[in-house]
Amino acid sequence: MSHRIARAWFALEERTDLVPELNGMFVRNGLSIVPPFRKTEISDADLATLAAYLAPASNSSLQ
Amino acid sequence: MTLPPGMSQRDFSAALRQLETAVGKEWVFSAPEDVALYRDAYSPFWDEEEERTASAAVAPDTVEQVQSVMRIANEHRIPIYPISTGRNLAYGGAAPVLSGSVVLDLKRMNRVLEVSEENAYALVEPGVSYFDLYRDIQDRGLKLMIDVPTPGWGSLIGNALDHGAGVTPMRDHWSTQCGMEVVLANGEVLRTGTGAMPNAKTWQQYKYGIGPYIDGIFSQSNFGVITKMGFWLLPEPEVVRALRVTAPRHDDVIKMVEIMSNLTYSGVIDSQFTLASPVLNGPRDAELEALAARPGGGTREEWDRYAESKDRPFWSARFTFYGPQPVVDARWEYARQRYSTIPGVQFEDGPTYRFPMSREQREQAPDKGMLGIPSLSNFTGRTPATPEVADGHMDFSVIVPMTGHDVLAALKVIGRDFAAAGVGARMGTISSFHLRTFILISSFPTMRADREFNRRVRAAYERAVKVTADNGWGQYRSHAAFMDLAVSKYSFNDDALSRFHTTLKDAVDPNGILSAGRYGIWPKDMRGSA
Repeated sequence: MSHRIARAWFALEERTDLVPELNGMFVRNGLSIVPPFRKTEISDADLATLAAYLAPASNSSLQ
Repeated sequence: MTLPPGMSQRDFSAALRQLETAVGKEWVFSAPEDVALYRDAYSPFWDEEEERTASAAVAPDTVEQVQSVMRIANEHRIPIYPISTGRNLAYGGAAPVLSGSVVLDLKRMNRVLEVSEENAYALVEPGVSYFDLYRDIQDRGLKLMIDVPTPGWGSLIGNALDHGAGVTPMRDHWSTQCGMEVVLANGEVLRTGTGAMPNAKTWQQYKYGIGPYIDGIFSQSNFGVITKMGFWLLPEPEVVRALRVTAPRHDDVIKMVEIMSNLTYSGVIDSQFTLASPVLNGPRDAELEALAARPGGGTREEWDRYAESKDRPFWSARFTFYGPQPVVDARWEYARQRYSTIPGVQFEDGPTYRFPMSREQREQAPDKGMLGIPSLSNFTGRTPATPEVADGHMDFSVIVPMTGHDVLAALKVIGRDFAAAGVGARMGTISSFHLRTFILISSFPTMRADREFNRRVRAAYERAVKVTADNGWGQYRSHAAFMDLAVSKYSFNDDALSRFHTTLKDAVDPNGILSAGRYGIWPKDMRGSA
């Protein structure tokens, strides 16, 4: 399953400007026609892990 | 903070503490920023007093916890609004019909309980999305195809309960449901169909059980919380092959629909087909508006001349065939032959897909819905070509009889009405969502920062409900903010049907705790006030 998720996130992984606060804002506020995600869909803990993974520092170490 | 109607903050806080004991503190949401996640992101009342908002949300993980929530709600008379995944976007999202309701968020109940390859069915919980079931089937390598609505994040159960649809032979999701488990308002659990037998062996294969067949009363209603539902699935076909047919003239629609309805009723066509008019669904210029506004709506000669001057066929239809290769090819060829009787008709073969498909082929396939592959490809938002998009939309879905006369009338009446409203309402194509009728799905844009625009949109939407009902076309599904209006058009014999619904409501939910106002069904003390 991990390979599928990794492919879907590839575009996000390439970004170098996704500070954790920005991810949180998009996920909890939505953007344009994409509505926000509730805590039953992605918990605060999972969101924090995801945001840390996509954050600039950890992102560069993965490439 | 929004409170349940007539409830004090103190009593509500006490009730929330009981709910926390039932499901765990972290799964009761009452902080404003958490409750805000249950707003309807596309609300036509955004930030206005009439916007429907929840007071809190509670997210159980088990059937027993759902039962506990029902008992607590009855004790405190708290209105509860169950959602599956809350992705009923364009029809009200996760927001309750009655402001102050506590949303019962079933997303955590996301288990695929059983999938039978041999008998082609699945049994799932309400939080299971199309993505979830698809992955389960793919990961286990089962030769089954699911049917998906356009966005794949919705719930199988939620979509079926609202009579939603996809495109394959299993597209009419309510018709494919088989057997359900329901938690009633009093907390009791019942199973329908043969599931009522303690040692049931055909719960997902035989719908009717014995005695009255009651599954239907739980759809588009508020009589219980569905905690399990079975779905019939399609064995993975050998081949999926499409056929596009275009016809040049205005009146060709009569013959086109006559053939498609006959092929459907004969079983030659068994999946969704779409019918659109590149002229009537196309860009509306001054010439077209003048033609449409003429008394009688323009003659067929005038329309034909218009279509010819624009170099557009008047009609375009697409069919898709599923099954073993020789059977699909025979049905495809037979449909082509039948349409060859229309002068000037043109055909386009394909696309064609053969199974099994590799993971890469599935990922790259452009026609994912046609292949039962869930996606979010329609959530594109802004693009360089369309830099300005509305923040949301309300869908408006009308049931149109399968005749050419009705198709013509619907496209002309609704097209003219939308143009006159001037709010950018978009008329969609006509599709055989369900088994023997067409659905014309249109959409009204909404803007979060423009109340005046939303006011005009709401007026146009209400007008469209009236105009279509005056023509005998009902809605198959309603936006949560306009359910009373939608149901008011189903008024035969002094609202006999609505009165029957409320009789049932009072019997199965005497305290009126479940989904007050959903599909116009209100508890006793709120009737008439809506």
